[in-house]
Amino acid sequence: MNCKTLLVKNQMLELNRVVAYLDELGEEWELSVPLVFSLNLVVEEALTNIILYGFDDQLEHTIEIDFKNDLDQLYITFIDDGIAYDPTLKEDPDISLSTEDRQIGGLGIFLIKKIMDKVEYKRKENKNFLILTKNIIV
Amino acid sequence: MKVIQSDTSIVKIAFSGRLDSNYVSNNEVKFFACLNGLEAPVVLDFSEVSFLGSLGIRMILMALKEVKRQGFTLKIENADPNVKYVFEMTSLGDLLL
Repeated sequence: MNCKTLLVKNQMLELNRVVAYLDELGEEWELSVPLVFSLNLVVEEALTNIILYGFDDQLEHTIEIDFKNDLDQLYITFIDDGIAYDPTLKEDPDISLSTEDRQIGGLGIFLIKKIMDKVEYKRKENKNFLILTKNIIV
Repeated sequence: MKVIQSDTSIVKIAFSGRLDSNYVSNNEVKFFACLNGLEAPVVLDFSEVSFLGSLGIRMILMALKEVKRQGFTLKIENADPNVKYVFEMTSLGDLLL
């Protein structure tokens, strides 16, 4: 099993570093280009939610992102010490509505659920754990 | 973002790079300023767009509502397959030319 950890601060500019990191990870683990694109989307959505809505103070926080790859599954775990929030409980936006009637927002977690095969949430020791699994059997 | 053409036949705006949260916060105001007092349908050129995140989709949806309110259409052209996939996944494929 391959494991890698990336630590980021709760600042939006950190996303640029994360993008570069994911590109390197994709090369190192020989992931397909569409898969790396999907992971980019998922990681950006999850991280944006945590950075923008996860903290109720102005302090600097560190968010841990663990990547694991056991050949047929890829796991991404986000660990933060922000306020307790379970994004899996959020209702999906109604995408059957016509485009002009569509609600704006709420698409982030929906995209994560669409792309990943499993989305789990746990609260342990005052920390949020968001665990995403993608089957990568080719 | 760059305005390619803006007259009584078409308003064409090209985006480039990653349409992520940073991009949206840097370009949103400028983009919506281009949609003031429209006289023609809007086409967004995505040929240089490499990534589309949910905040990018949100910006496009808000633009769509604004353009429709003024009685025009908004379409997206030249999106690459990865970006098309995001539109289709969110059932917004009908925005694509």
